[in-house]
Amino acid sequence: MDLPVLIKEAKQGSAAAQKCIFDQLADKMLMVCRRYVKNQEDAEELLLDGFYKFFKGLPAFNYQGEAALYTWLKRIMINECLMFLRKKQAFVIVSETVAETIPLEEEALNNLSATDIFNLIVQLPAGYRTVFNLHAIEGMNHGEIASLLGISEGTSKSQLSKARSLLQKMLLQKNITYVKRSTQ
Amino acid sequence: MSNEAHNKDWVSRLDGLNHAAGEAGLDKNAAWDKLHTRMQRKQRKSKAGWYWAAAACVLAACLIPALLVHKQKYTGVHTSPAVTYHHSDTAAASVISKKEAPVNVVKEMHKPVAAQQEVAAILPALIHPVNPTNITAALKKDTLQITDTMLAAVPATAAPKKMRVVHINELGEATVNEVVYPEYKPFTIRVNSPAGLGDQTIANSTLNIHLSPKN
Repeated sequence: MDLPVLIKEAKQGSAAAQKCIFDQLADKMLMVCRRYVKNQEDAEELLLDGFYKFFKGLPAFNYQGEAALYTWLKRIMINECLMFLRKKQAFVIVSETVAETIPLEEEALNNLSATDIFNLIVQLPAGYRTVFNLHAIEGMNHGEIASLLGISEGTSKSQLSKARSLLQKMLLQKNITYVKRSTQ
Repeated sequence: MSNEAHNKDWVSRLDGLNHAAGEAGLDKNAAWDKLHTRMQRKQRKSKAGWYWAAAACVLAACLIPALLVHKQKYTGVHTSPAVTYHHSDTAAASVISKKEAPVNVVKEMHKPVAAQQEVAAILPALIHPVNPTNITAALKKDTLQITDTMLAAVPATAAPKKMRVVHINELGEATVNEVVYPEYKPFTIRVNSPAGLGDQTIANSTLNIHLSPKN
C-alpha cells in the first residue's frame, strides 16, 4: 500500500495502517537512534518512544511527500535521543577552548561502506559522536547545535574537532589493518 | 541548517542503512505489540480520567445543594417564647416587681426544628391529662356489644394510655431566664446609739437577720 494512503488511514486511527508504517520505517529509524545511543536496548526503547510521539502527532501532520515525513520522523527520533543523553548526562565536555579544525578527508569516508562508517561513528565518545552526527550528518551549524545541547558554540566546535581527529586516527588504524591483512 | 554536509555521498549511504552488520535486527512484531499496548494503555488512561472527572462533577452537583440546605436548616435562629420567672420568695421582691418591671435577659438559643415540633405535639397532652372516663366512653363506641357474657357486664377498664416519656435532653437546652432587680441588693441596717453604747445590726439581707431595735 502507498505511504499517502497509509498515512491517511493511520490518521483515522487504523492500527493496521500504523503497523505498516512502523514496519516500513522502523529499521532506518533504529539505525538513526543507534548512531546517537550506543546501547541496542536503549535505542529500541527510544525508537518506540519516538514512534509513539509520531502516531500521537500524526493527525496534525500535513503530508507533503515521503521526504518530509521521513525528515519529521527522523527529527523526532533525534530529539528523543538527545533527551535521553541529557537525562543520562552522557555529554562529556572536555574543554571549551576552540581547537584547530582538523579537516576530515571526505574521500576516506566515501571509500568506506555504510556499515564501516556506522561502526566508526559508534566508537566515538558520546559528546563527540553527538556533535559529529548533528554537524556532519544532519547538517546543523554550531549555533544550532549549541542551543540544542545547551553548550557554547566554542564547545561545539571543539567537540567536532576532537571527533574528527579521533576518526582520522581510527581511519588510519583501519588502513593499517587493511594493509596488514593484505600483506599476510 | 547548513547544506555543506548533505552533498556527501557517505551521508546518504549512512541514512539508507537498515541494520548494522553482525547485530540481530529489530523484532518488528514484538516491538509493534509493545508500542500498540502502550498506545492503548494511554488511551484507556485518558478515558478513565474523563470518567472520573465526570463522576466527581455529578457528585459535587448532588452534594453541594444538599449541604447548603442542611446548613440553612441548622443555622436558622429560632426564638422560643420567653418565660419569665419572678422571684416571689421575699416580700421585697414582690414589691419591687410591682413597682418596676424587671429587666428580662432572654438568651436566644438554636434548637433543631424537628425536636421542637415533637415537643409541640406532646405538650398539649401533658397540659391536659387524659381522663379515664373519656377513654372508656371511646372504647365503648368501638367495642362490639355482647350482652350474654360476663364480659359484657363488666365495663372494660381503660388500659392506661402510655404517654411518651420526654426527657429534658429532648427539649433541648433550657431557656435561661434571668431576672435582674436593680435595686434588690444586699444591705445591712445598723443602729448607732448616741450614748456610746454598742451598735446594733437590725437587718442584714445576706445573713437573713430581721430584728426589732432594742432600747
